[in-house]
Amino acid sequence: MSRRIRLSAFIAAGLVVALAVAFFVSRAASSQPDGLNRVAIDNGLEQASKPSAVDGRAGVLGVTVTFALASGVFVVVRRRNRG
Amino acid sequence: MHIPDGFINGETSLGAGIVAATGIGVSLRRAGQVLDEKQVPLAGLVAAFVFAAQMINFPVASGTSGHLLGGVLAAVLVGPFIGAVCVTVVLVVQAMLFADGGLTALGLNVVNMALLTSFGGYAIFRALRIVLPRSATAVALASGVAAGVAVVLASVAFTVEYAIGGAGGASVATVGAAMVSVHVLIGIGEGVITAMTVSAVLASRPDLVWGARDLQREPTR
Repeated sequence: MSRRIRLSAFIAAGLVVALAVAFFVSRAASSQPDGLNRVAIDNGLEQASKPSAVDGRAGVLGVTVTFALASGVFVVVRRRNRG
Repeated sequence: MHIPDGFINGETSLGAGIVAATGIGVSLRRAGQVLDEKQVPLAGLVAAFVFAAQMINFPVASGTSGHLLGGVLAAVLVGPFIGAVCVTVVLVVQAMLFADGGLTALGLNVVNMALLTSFGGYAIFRALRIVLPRSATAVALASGVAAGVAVVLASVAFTVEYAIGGAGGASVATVGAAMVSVHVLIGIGEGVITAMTVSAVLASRPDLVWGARDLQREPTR
């Protein structure tokens, strides 16, 4: 059986990938409205699409906050369930 | 796929909010029961990854893009209960910090993008696993197909919400046909990204994939 990478290394590598996607790959993302916005514009439910407020740096903040908040929630529900 | 404020009337939004709160309440209880130590950071990572992936809008048709919803990806990696909570955290951060999806529409967005994809999509994933061979490739394939179908389910859910409490003047049939047709295309993107991501995790740490626990021969540590 092949050697597994350690869990901490896996989590760290995954976070690096998420941060890199948020910071770098987001520059290549389409700025066109998404499916729901497009349908809304075409059917007069929405005037015009507003460009995404999330740029690379905001994305890094969002990834960090999301990781912290989700981890915090799961630590709490796990502890509460045991306590 | 994020519904802004004012698209769906207050009563319908409130109803969806009650459904969302109930679903997430149950999910949090179950998450507390099933979470083991190594799943806490993994679940945090899944939420962070879904947030990052949702930023990447890919073109699907002229003047239209789509992005990952991530509910099936999360459910396959950490199970549907924890997965639904992960996507909900993403939606809360987006609505509170980035005005992506309306605050009054948060319940609608949680129902469509977290609950329906995590539970509905995971049910499709389980059904596909029964008919497919017991292999890592089949897990990735089932994840991708279930993820694609889940996106279409979410677009149908939006159409139902629009039918109940849509604030716009366009007919339900027109909105529904447009929503489903464009989300079939977005679903293909969702399926490809989901299958590739599940494959990558299966290649490095197969023991961490909730939806592939049956492939493990030995007990995980």
